[in-house]
Parts: sequence; C-alpha cells; structure tokens
Amino acid sequence: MTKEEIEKVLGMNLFKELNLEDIDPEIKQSILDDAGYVISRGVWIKIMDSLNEEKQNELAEMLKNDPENVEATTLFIKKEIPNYEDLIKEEVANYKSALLAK
Amino acid sequence: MNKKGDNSDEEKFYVSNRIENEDPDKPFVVKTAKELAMEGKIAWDKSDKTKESETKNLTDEEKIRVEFRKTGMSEEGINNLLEKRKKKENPTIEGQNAVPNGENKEKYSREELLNAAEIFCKFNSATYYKDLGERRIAEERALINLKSEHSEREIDAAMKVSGKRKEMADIREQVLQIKEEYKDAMDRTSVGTLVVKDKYKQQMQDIKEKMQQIDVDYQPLFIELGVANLDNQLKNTEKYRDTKNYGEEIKNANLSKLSMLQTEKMRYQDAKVSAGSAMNPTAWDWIKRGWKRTTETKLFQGYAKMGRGSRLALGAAIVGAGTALWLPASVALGAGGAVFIGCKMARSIAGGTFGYNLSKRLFQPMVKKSRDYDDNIVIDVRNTESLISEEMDHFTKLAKGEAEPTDREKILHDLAVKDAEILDKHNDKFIKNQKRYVRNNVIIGGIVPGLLGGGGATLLTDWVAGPGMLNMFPTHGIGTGATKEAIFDNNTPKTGSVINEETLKLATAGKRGIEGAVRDQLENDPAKFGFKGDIADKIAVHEWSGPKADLIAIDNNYKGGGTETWVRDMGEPGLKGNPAYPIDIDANGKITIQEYIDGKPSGTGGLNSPYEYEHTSPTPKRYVSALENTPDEYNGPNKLTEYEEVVITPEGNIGGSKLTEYEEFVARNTPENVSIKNEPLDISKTQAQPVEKIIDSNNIETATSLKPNFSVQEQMNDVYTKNIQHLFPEDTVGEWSDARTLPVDQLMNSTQPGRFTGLVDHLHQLEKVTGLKPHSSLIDGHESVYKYVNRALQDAANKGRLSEVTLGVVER
Repeated sequence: MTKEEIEKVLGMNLFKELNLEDIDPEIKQSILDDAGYVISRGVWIKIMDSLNEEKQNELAEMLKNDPENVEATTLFIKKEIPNYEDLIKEEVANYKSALLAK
Repeated sequence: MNKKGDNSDEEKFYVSNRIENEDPDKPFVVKTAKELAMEGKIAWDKSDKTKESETKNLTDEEKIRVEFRKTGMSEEGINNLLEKRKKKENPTIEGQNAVPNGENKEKYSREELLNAAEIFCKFNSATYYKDLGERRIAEERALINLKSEHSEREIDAAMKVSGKRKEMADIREQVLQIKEEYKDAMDRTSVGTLVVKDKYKQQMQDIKEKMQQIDVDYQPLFIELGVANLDNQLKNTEKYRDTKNYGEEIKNANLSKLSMLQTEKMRYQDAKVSAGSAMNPTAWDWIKRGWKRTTETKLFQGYAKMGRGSRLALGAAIVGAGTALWLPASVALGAGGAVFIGCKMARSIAGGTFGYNLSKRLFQPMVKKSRDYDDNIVIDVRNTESLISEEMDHFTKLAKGEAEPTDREKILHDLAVKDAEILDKHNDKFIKNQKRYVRNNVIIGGIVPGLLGGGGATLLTDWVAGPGMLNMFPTHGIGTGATKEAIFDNNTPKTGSVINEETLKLATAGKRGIEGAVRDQLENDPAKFGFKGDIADKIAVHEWSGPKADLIAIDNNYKGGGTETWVRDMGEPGLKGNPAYPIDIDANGKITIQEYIDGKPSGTGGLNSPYEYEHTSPTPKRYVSALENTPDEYNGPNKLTEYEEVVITPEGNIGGSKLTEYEEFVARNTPENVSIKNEPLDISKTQAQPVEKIIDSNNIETATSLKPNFSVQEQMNDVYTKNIQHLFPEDTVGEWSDARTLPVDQLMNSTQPGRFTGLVDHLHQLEKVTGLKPHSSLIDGHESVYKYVNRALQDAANKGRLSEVTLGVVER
C-alpha cells in the first residue's frame, strides 16, 4: 500500500464500513480486543524482524533487567527502527484492510 | 413460473424470496411483476404499462432499478442484487477464484478438507478425543458440515491459507536443523570455521527471506479467505431478505467473518513467532513473556476493572500512534483501546481444547447463571437437596473424561432422573412465579449438570457422549402430569373452536421448537403451503420445508435474536393436552401459526405461554472472540510459555484446572460452601507440582484461590485464608474473586475503594510490616492483589511477624 492508501485505511471506521455500528458494545469491545491483540503482536513481530540478532538480544536484556523503564524501551525501538511509526501504520492498515475487504 | 435472468417480452424482473429456490447456484428467483402480484407479494397496477413505456430508453440495469424501487427495496439492496447478478452472469469478473457454476468439493483430499474445516472452526485437531473412533466421528461431522455450509471458493481459499501458514510453521524445524548442522560442523576440526560460519549466516539469511516471501504470499490469500467467506454467507442470508431478521443476518455474516479472520491471523502469528523463536530463543522468550502476562490479566478478569490508562499503558508504549489510529472507534465507545488481552492460557491449563471447552462453555456459564439468578427459591432448593455426593462424583468423572462410553449413558441418565425428581419435588415453588420458572430451571441445571433443560447438558452430551444422546432422556423441565395441571391452572382456555386431532398431532411441538411442528405440517401438505416441485420427491420437500419453517417461525415471532420458542412436553400429542401449533394461510396469503391446547385455541401466544420457554440455539454467539477459539497446536507463544504451568495431576493431564473449577462449582452450588472453604484441599491431587503454579494458572476464580502457596508454612496458609474470610465474611469466595486479580498498586492508591476499603487497609498494613512494594513493570504489568498478599505474607512469616498482619477468624 502507498502512504496515501495507508492513511485512508487508517481513517476508516471499521464498524461503520462493516455496517456494525449498532451492535452490542460488548461485541464491539471483543472485536477490538482481538484486533488490538493481533496488531500488537504483529507490531512486535515486525520490530523483531527489523532487528538483527544482536539488537534483538539487546532489547531482550532491557526488558529483562529494566522492565519498568518504558521510556528507555520506546527510545531504543525508535532509535533502531527509524521508520517505526510507518511500520506500525502499515501493520495496522494491512490488517484492517483485510478485515474490511468485501 | 420462475425466470432466471432472461430478457423476456415483459422485461420486468423482480427478485423474490429465495425460499422457493434452494439451489445455491441460483442466487435469486426472478419473476415478473405480474407473477409476484399473483402471489400477493406486490400490488399490481395496470397503469404500470404506461410507465413501462417511459423506461424503454433506459439500460437494462436502469430498468431493473426502476422496477426494484417499486417493490420498496432500498438502494443498497438493489445495488447488492445487481452486483450479484453481474457476478453470476460474468463469473470471471472476480478473477480466478470466482465461484464456478458447478461446485466440486470432492476434488480435495481429506486432509485438505480438514484443514479448511479447522479454519472455519468446524474442527480442531487439538481437541481431546477419547479414542480414534470418537475422533473419526468428529472429523466426519466436520466434513459434512464444511461441505454443506461452505462454498468451493471458501474451501479453496482456506486450503491455500492453511498451506501457507504451515509453510511458515515448518520454518521452525528448518531453523533447528540448520542450527544442528552448524553445531556439528563447528565441532569438526577438519572444516574451516569461517566457511562454516559463512554458510550458517547465508542459510539464516535465506530463511529470513523465505519468511518474508511467505508473508507477502499470505496477505492476499488471507484477504481472499475473508471475501470468499463473506460472499457465501451473504448468499445464505438471501432467504431472509424479506424478513425483519435480514439486517441482523447481514451483521452476523460480517461478525462471523471477523471472528474467523482474527482467529486465523493469530494462528499465523503463532507460526511466525514459533519460527522466530527458533532463530533467537532468548530474545523471543522475553517478548512472549510480555504477551503471557497480559493474557493473564484478562484471565483473572482484572482487565475489565482496570482503568483505561492502565489498559493502554503497554500497548500505547509499544504501538504508539498505531493504537490510536486503529482504535478511534473504541475511544468513542468509551471502552478504551484494548490491547494485549486474551485467555488462551485457559486451554493450556485445562489440558487441551476438550477441557477448555468444557470449562468455558459448561462450568463457567453455570456458575455465572447461578450467581446472576440466585434467589430464595433456589437457595431453598439447594439447602434441601444434597447434591454434592453421588451425582457430583458422577459428573466429575464424566467431565474428566474418565467414564467409559458405556458408563456415560448411565451417568447422564441418572443425572437426568435426579433432575426430574428435584423438579417434581420443588415444583410448587417454581410454579408460584411462571416467568421465573425458566430461569430457575436453568439454575437447577447448574446444581445438577445433567439437567436437560440447560444448554450445558446439551453441550456435554454432544462433546462427551456424542450427538443424539439427548433424545434418550426425559424432556426439558417438567415431566409429570401433576406439573402440567399446575401450570395450566390459570391458562387452559374454556372455550374456542375445535380442530381435528390429526392436525393437532402434526402440530404438536412437544420437547422441541415450534419450528419443528411447523415443518411437519409443511411436509404433510407441501403444495398447500407453496412448494412448487414434485411432492413425491420427499428429499426435495424436506429441503424446502426447513428454511420455509424457519422463516415462518421468524415471521410469527417464535424465533429471532439467537433464540427460539420451545415447548415442554405435556403428554400425548393431540386432543389430550400437549400444546399444538397448527399453521394456516390468512387472507393476505401469509402463513400464520395458531396456538392450541386441549384441542382449543389457547388464547395465549409467544413466550408468555407457561408451557413455552426460550431456547437458545446452539450458535447464539454473534461474535466468537478469536482469543478464545484459537487452537493450541501451533506451538505459539502462549503454548511455549505456558506449558510449564499445566497442572499435571496423578489422574491425568486435564485434572488441575478442572479440579479447581469443579471445586468452585461445588462451592457456589452447595449449602456447605463455607465448610469447603475451610477444609484443606486434597493435596494428593496437586502434589505433582508446586502449588504456586496452580495459583498462577487459575483462569477463573476458584475455591482453591483462597489457598496460598502450599510450599510455605501451614501457619501462613491459615492466616491467608482467615484474613480473607475476615475481610469478606458475607460472600468470601465471590468478593475475593472480584478483588484478587485487581492491580494491587492501583487499588492501594484508590481514594474510593468502596467495598474493598478493608482490603486496602490490610494491603497497607502488609506493606508497612514487610516493606514490600507492589510490582509494576512494562512486561509483567501490575502485580495482582493475590500475588502481593501471598508474597507479603511469606515475607512476614519469614520475618516472624505474621501475627502483625493477622486479621482474625470469623466464626461461621
């Protein structure tokens, strides 16, 4: 997908596109729970794929030794993966577009 | 006469209800306006002839639009139908995967079909089966179901997705093989180290590229899977087009697709993580730990009680803008961005899907119903009956899968007999409030799981004993004449027209849905009710009558929203007393359902009739969370990180979780629940591993959750239990269930802890005495209350300061 396409998909309302706007909030939440889980895992997989083994181990060491330091972890990811936000957007957009496909 | 897309002289086409055309290759029946008018479906106006001339200059599509609009159909509906028409006329428009005219589902191998069945959640290869025979039966049922409900296009797409996923899963073995070869080569001195390393690097690089290619290949297959599934489902909803349920059916189709896709995506991710983990196990281990912790959060039901900020914390830090972009709808909902949650651990601790299903769909709903609908009547019944002895022992055996096939029937039968006894014995209490009877009936099902009025028993017999077992038991709920009389005391009509006994017999519902009685009548006189084919062709008649009865039941408000009205068996069919539901055609040509009792109109209708009850269909859930239905066989992160925590009991690998859930069940459904809480557990059943793991593994709140780590001193054990009883004297198990998984740091900082005020004071006391602070981290998340209490009490015990954190004993 191009950047423009990604932005367009990200701007879409999933429930509206699928005509599911008026379903039970619980169901909506369940869908989002699943999607959030999938996307989060997808992002982690992308992050790990983007790092070489040495950097993967470095990240793991951070998570192991200083798990409470959210800022440091985020900074590390941003530093090692400059296109970090694009990567996330692409992951989200790819998945969302699959769910929206008719 | 039906027409199908031809340009006849009238050039008028209407899409009618599909119920008269069940051939899946004929998406709709096209009729002239006149034909439809003759059937009473539209108003026929001769002046249309004039209007017809005005449309002569329009294209075919425009003409059809004009005519459709006259029927009142929405623009969206017209667009959908035209789109389908185009696809039908030009199957290549969708590309190579377009539905061919003649479907051939026999060309696939059994393995391929089972893989497809797995994607559509018809079959799970990881399910526990007692023997090969049971497995074979499950497979056959799945294949029949797959072929009857899913199109060739869907099967084809599912096979391709499954194949690509397996390619990814196979990477793991390839990586391990490369590593093995590398190690061997490095151990051999005759081979140059640099050469070996270069080769290894190249192999690993090749693997990475292969994974990337699989990723690239997978995405369009994944999309096609969703499209194929939705396409087929939408075709299946056509029969509802003219009913009030149509909109809901469309939504259900989308929800079903979403559930299927999300489940499949998780499977694929599992495969990918498994491969990645083989390449760098150390690094991936820490990533997986993060996932595992967060799934625990959901399991322990702390998630719902956490603030939005907490729920977002981990996800927002990692996903950042992605989360916000993805989840605007959730923010609008006020529900927050839900990330990193799930309950897959339930399966691993339950020892496989079998145990998981049994727990998730049988025990937990029962417990919930028991909790939700608790009332004096039920408590009274509970206190009168001693249900924790033989019946429960039998059920435990059954639930653990320890009962022999021959014993299962007897056990279920005995439980059913017990149900009937209880119902008869306490019938007077239930009859006092007819509307509550159904609810109470379900609750009784919670007390004796063999009760056949509850969905739990249906599922149990299906899973454990095989399909069809239900028929051998007494009917739902009430089974005696005395009960019937009591129920009809104020409702039996005294006057009314008479209907012949033969019709009444056909129309008697008796321990099934009203739809069944309607279907029998349709099949008895198909021509009268609109069947156009050969009435001697019984198969054709039967295929026609099913969806027709479905629609009639919906139109007459006996079905909808995932439930349908069922009728208790009140005795002999016919005039003698069983409720009957004869159908007829009214002046408008609509088939209506009437309601008779004792050969006369009952004067009641719908769910208000005392002999009727709401039956939930086997597939009522509109959206099945992917986090709950992903199989475990993919060696995914949860599997890899959680298997160590599976409770292995001396009896077998499904004992741990079910044992504790069973105990919870008993605790909630017996008058002696207090004594259960005070009695030590049968440690012989859990001694196979440290109890700390049992505590960590509990996916729902259990009676055993009152117990601390058994490896610490008994004195601490005693303090732990008694403190909780002291804090929650009224509903120890229930209150502690709510509290124990809350994030302890947030609870301690809460300015309005409400019913947990005493607990918060206790937590601060623990902190003061031990000096231990609650844990909170990016990966591990927030430490839960029970973990902190356990940790602090151990510390206090080690320091000899246990008395300072002992709250006292509640005498009960």
